[in-house]
Amino acid sequence: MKLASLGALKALNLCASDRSYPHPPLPSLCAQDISHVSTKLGPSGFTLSPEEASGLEVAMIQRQMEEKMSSPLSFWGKLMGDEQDYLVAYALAPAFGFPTKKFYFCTTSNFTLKQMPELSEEYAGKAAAVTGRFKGDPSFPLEEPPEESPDDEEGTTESFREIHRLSYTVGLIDHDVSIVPVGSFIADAAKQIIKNKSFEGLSYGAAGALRSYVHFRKAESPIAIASVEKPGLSRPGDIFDSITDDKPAGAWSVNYSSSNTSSYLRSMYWPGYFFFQTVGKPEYGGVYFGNGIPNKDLAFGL
Amino acid sequence: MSFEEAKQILQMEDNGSTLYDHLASVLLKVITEKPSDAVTSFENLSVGCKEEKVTLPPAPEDSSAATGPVLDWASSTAALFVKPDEAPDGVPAPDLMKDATLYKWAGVSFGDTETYMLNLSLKKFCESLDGGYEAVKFWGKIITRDGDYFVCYGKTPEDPEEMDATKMEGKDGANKYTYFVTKSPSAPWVALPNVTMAQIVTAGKIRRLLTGDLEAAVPSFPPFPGVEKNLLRAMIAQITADTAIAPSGTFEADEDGANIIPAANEDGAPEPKTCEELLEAGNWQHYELRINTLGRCTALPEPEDAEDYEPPEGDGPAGLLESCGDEGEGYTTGWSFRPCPGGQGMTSTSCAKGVSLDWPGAYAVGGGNDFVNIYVGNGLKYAESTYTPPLPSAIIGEWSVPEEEADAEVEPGTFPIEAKDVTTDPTPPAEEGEEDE
Repeated sequence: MKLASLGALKALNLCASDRSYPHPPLPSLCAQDISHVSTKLGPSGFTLSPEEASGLEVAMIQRQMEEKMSSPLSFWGKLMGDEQDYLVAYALAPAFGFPTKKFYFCTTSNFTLKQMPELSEEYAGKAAAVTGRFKGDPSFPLEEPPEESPDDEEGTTESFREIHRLSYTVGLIDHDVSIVPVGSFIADAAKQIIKNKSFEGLSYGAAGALRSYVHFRKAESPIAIASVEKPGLSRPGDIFDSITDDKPAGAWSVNYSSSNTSSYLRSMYWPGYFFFQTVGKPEYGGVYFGNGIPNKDLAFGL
Repeated sequence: MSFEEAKQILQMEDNGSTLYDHLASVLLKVITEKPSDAVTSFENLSVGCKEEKVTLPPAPEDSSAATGPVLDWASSTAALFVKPDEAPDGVPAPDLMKDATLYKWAGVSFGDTETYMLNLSLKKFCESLDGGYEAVKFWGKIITRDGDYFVCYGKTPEDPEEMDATKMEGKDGANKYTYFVTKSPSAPWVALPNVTMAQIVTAGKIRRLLTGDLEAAVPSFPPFPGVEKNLLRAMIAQITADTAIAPSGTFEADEDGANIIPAANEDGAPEPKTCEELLEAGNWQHYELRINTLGRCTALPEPEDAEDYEPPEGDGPAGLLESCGDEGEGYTTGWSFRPCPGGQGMTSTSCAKGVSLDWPGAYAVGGGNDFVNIYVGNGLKYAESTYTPPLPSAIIGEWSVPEEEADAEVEPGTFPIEAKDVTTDPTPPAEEGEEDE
């Protein structure tokens, strides 16, 4: 998944096996996904500057060690704001059925990863109503602060700020565009989604076809849900929502790189989401470099 | 999963045999030899079966689906690395490897190897180019629905032939540069056509994603006058006019005040600005001609025969060497400037990175006497709100009595009175007898 294909996937497998092994192996350092940025993301046109890459690498290792995470942190993307940019990383946490994603963020002026806040329904509704670009300041207030918040010593009355919008937007983007190749994840006999260790990558033909990619999220379409729930083994292609069903048709574009040795996908609805898959190798990952605003005019652009 | 599917998996070919066949032969061995410790020695039985049958791995298939395109790419790209015997004349090529370091600070990279191949590709293209181009520069990349266009440009040597000056500008206006695109470093560079005023204006009213085919039609409303290569050219014209910025003082107007030329003081080069100065939007300037609402950089030519000629609204040059600090309505500036490296890594020689807020994907990086502009995006401008296509033009009015008739019969200010209904047939049918004859 994502850039840390190898590391994070390994980690996901650990999560699934945590139930049987009382002592999971020590977390492995997962800084190599940052180096993927400079080697695998060429066709996307975007990269992290040396400052961002090194700052984030250190921050990720630090956060991972401090929280004794069982799964390594992986780079998720960069969300660009007017004054600063946000760098976002995530970790997969074990959960029944489908692993949950924990998101962490930092800004390009302060490389300290912090966990994103959980959103209440009220805040999610407010966040959905905000339009325009991001500012780049997590504490930037997006509504008038409550009147009875005096400047007392506590001073930190909870109010709706950009950090909440960031959390909402990252969740939304991840839900819409986080994808994996068919067969890279399977449902085991206990109906847990686990990484397929014997996945060997997609063939040349399959890598260039949209139907070879599925949404990496808890199944939502009735067919996928039924396939996960039915007794017995499920076909790997059936347990996820296919991206070919995404509306409008043309929301995804799939291409081979100029050398034809890998293929890449772009989301046209979330400009800036980029996914690569090396032909014939279990190497794949996706990343988002954008301003957090969907292309709602897509219907006029196709 | 059904039984047939499970069986299919077991029958997948692996090194010339299948697990299904292997299990069958192991079980057959158990049944014929009837060992008492079949479970304990199961592995040995399996090994025994394998030893009896030695197979060589099959020869690789001659033509896998991938071989053709990958080999084609490798052969055409390998040609880029061949050094010609004699250095051919040509146009100076951009030093993409040097600029790529600055692009990287802006967060833009095409991958190290791809950048180098692009550098070779540009160099080769420049060697083959003649016709008076002074130099070729790299512009950026436009993302499409099927592959990407790499774009480079050179100063147009001559005005296009048979140019209608009221419909398009020549080399002193919007067609100052000729742009070339390629979809891969190993593919040839293709020149884009010159842009017309109507194309620039219409391109600003539509929001289409490019398809990746230069000849593709552009179905849109209002109708776009041209195909995709014209739309691409119009997008580039607008982006260049809006996002080409340099540290102020790098360029100045020439004596006529109409053209922009590199500034030079007595020592040759202008005094470089420090990083802190470059963080101020006011210390950057637009160094390409801006485009006005008519899709032009210069004023429309005055018609020779008209005596009291009134230029249309919005005519005239859209500004020369404007400072970036002055522009933008609703927010302070259309740019955000940041040091790179910043924070603890910031030094007096740090670069300053300009991020265009209007054109996501447009960046400028400047430091010392160097500056670069780069664009990577889908060619769409940032929009505050959801796009609404323009309304169709007003319906043509119904027919009314021409003015002279109305004056004759009706007094001014009153409506024409409807004539009495015609009750008799104005063209009575001819009598039958006549027709028969």
